[in-house]
Amino acid sequence: MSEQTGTEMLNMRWAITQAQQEEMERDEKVVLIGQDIGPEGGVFGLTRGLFAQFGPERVRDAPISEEALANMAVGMAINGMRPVLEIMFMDFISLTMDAIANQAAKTRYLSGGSIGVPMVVRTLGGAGFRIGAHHGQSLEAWFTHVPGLKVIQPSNPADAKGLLKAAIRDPDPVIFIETKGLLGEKGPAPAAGEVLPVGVAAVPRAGTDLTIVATGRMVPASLAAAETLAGEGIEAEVIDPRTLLPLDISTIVESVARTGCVLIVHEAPRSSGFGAEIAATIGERCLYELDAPVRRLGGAFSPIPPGPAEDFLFPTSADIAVAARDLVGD
Amino acid sequence: MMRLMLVARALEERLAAAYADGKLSGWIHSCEGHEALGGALAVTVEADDHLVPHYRSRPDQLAKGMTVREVVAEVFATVDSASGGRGGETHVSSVAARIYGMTGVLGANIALATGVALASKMQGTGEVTVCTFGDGTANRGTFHEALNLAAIWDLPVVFICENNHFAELSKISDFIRVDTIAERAAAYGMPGHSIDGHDPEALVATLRPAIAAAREGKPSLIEAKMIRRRGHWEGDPQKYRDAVEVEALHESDPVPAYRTRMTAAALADEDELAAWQTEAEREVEEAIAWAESRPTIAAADAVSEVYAEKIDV
Repeated sequence: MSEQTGTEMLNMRWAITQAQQEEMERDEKVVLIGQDIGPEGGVFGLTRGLFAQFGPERVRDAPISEEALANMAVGMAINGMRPVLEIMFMDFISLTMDAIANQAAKTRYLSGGSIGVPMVVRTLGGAGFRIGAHHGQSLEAWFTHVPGLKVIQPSNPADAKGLLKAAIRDPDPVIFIETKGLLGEKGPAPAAGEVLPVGVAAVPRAGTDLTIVATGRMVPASLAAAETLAGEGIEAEVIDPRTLLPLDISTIVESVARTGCVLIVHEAPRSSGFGAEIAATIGERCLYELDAPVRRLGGAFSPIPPGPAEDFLFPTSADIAVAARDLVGD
Repeated sequence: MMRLMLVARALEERLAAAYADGKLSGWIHSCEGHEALGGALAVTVEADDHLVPHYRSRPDQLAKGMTVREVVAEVFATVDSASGGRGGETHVSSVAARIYGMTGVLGANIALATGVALASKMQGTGEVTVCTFGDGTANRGTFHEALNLAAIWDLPVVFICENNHFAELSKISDFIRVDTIAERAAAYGMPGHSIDGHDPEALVATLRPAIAAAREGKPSLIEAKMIRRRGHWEGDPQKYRDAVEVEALHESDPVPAYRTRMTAAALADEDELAAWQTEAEREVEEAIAWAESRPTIAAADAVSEVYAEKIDV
């Protein structure tokens, strides 16, 4: 890891690994569990070097038993540890839904606040690897509907590092979505030891003509679209919520009230996607500031096919630019 | 052991009466027939050990150190309960007694218990986790996954299947092809013991070495065979049970059976037992009268304690 530390640029993979490394050095209660995360460093290479540094107890290779492992993480958290469970593909998180939604999320409430569950489920979401229907879904909305959980989805290395550190320190269970299509992306490294607040949106680009709210892979796609639009005299403001639950809705509402137009973009299917929650809240809070109806772009309402056909399903920067032009009336 | 069994039985009888009288909202799952295990746990589990029980486990909860009042407060969902009225009969927990992980989704607790045990092991505390669950739940995937995890990682945990022969409204014999649930332990490389769950002394004789072994990182599965004396829930007409079977319940009640055995072995005399019985009934009566007088959670509090720090949603 040392080759990356202290440099100005950082890629997403190392950001995620460094966050875990730093938190494990800081707090011996932090332990990692997952399939092939040990000597192999994880299928996506997100725990490389950690087994050598922390050993088999704290970087624990686990069998294919996702439901039990997620419940196990709950039990560990109840009994004083801070487990970080890697669910290799977010599609597999279906196997852990009871542990997460019924056990982890509700334990604090059901104990009258006396028992917390400080655990993190790191999981690789989104498409981009062209590996079909069970290895590329974006399932964040399954979790944003569950009281007791927090849901974080960073889109750049600095946010990934700062927010994963925050997630590990959080007293409540966190679903931390790592967008696999962005793992190789480079970005500015955060300040050493920086921990970002949970529940604060980022505004990677300021603008005056419309607001684009995007998550995951759709953030860089929206920023690329915004560059194109700027060449046409349209200034788009791009907001990356970074944490979906809790959601920094005030940053979004303030922006929409100023620009009067909003486009919401995510990789998950549009229908009942998280964008619907954002759109509905905008409707409740700033309908009369809108100059055009709220617009949403999402993935197709379809299972994901393998190979290059995958690309047919998801919005591109060109799609985002077209929708933006339409919104502002060009 | 006997005293705990008497309290546990008095509690079940009184809760059933309260439910029949409409004094108890929600539901109640009678633990009658399960008392011997509670009695045995009371003398084998240490205060620092952990219990991850199932929904039909009030004797286990009392054995682990919850008071009758604490258990009753949770069943009646009063503001005095550990959950403040947020949990209920299905979700009893106690930080002081180290009880957690009770779930309405059966079987999650078996895997959760392995996590509690792994945390104990990693922290070097020497504590054991006892996990109880029913026979029906031994068909959940979590049972199989959790036993395997406990075995491969040498976890300090004892799994206890309270086999009362009914999975809700169905006979467990319709749902498993092996003779005992205990023999499933062999598939995971751990010992399995199938024993008479009505016999508290046999239970102690099995539990004691099992808990000692668990403390050394050797988990095991204990199947305690017992008979559920009442329905799945109070009000269950039990049409799935025939008259012969119900009649036979009189012959197989663990509480009077152990009482008889104690007097026969001169472990207690009738006067002593009668005094314990009176005291058990008094304690239960006092707790239930108190709970009936106490408020349930207020509207404003019913949506609190969701997060460590409240968030705006």
